[in-house]
Amino acid sequence: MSFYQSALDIAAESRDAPDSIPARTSAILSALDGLGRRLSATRFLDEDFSLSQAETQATETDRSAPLFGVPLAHKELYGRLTPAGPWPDEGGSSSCEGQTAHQTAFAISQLDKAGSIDCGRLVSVEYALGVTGHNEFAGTPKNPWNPDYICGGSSSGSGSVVAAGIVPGALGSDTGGSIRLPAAACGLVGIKPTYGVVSRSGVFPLSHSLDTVGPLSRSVADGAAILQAITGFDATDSCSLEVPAEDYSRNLDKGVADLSIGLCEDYFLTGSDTDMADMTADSFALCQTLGAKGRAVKLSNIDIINPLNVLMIATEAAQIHRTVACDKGHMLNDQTLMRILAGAFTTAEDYHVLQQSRARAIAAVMEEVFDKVDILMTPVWPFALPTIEASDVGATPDAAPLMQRIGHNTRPVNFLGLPSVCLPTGWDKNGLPVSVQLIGKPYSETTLLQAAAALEREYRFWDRTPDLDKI
Amino acid sequence: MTDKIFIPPLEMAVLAETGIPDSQIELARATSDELRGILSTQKKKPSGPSVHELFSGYAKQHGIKLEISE
Repeated sequence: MSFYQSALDIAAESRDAPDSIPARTSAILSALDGLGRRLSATRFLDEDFSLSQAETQATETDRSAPLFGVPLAHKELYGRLTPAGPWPDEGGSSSCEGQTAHQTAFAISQLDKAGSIDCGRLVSVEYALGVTGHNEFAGTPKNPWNPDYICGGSSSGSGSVVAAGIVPGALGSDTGGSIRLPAAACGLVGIKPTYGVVSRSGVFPLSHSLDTVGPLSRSVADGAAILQAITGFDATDSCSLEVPAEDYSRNLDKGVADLSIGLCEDYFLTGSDTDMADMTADSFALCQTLGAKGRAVKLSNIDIINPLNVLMIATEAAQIHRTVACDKGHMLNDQTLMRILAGAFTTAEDYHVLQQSRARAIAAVMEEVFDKVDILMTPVWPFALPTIEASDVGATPDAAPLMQRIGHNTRPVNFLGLPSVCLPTGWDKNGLPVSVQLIGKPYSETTLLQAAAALEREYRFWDRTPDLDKI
Repeated sequence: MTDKIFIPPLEMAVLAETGIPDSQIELARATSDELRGILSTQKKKPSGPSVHELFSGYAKQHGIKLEISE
């Protein structure tokens, strides 16, 4: 089996030779069982189910599905029912050990319809509540670019397995940066869609109004294709919205000459280490070289958004998980327990004020930024990736304040409900990937992907792959 | 979550019976106080449409833009 094939190439190959689908699926399951477990990234495999999906696809006469025969694996928060029974739904936590899915997640059903093969589940941080990727119970995934370093979280297994080239893409979930942080740490494209675009039904919940679902992939085109497949209105998710259908891939070749891109020095650049800020400024300059209009922008009250997002996550997590936290607190990681409990003191009045503050912040950013530019460019990680050891808050409590900074550039995007695409643009001082984040106005995923594709052609990040012999 | 019933805050007395160490409860309480202190600066500001209403409106605007561009 050839690693590092794109989803679109696999789909084309599957259409030409459907007999190849079961063999490819079998090889990928072996790799997930071998390399995936050595990376501490594989959580659950169901060979019988995945191979039966592959066999069904191999005999399918209609091969027009966009992800026909494409093997994907996903963060363990995605529910799946099979004829043999439900898959585990443990939220990466010993407190939920033995719990199984109640339904197949809407996004997973959409991928089934798009012809994809579901190859299993990948490690998540406990309750998706952490940004480093550490998980004492399910395992701490290693970064394929250097296994001493973290993958970021909470979609850590998704980042690890896609960066290792085993599958071309994986779904993650993002409440404060949990798609973008691992995508950036692992040199991948990460897409956090606009509020309401992708249903979260059947996904282990953390924060009702902030959780978003999206893909990690090795290319912009693959990410666009996976996003295309999972979108759609779902009445069972009260945040789902009827958004007009559009082709997210339609402008991938268009370049950036018709776009205006903003850089916000306050907060995003000043809150990131100099090397991260400089690399973002370099990407901003590159966009201008490619014909985009560049413009400095300012955001008032941005400083307050980060702590309000932390309170929103804690409050909504406590609404969902506080019974477990009280009954099985001893089974939760100290950080998880503390963050859930911190939300359990929020009053209904506080929560109302929080929601109103969020709405005001959204209206303000539309006026201050997106009336002026199409895209806001920021760093993703505010500093160079730490090692697994240095960022283990359980073993090194002094690391906690530093870890709080990790979501500095990503959390505000969730609070604002905006779409965001991150992609790799270079390397940090330790040889690990560095990415930029492109943030857009609501429902501007097509525009963000257009700009991301233009940058991708310049950086040609995909010419390099990790040395997997080290794993 | 506006359409869901909001569960009232946990009483300290209830928490004390859970067996969770006092130090962790205190840390959570202090974190909550700090964050809600920041939130308190947002009280008494004018109310407007909800987040969901805002995004419903943006979705409609986006649909109109798409139709025009086609």
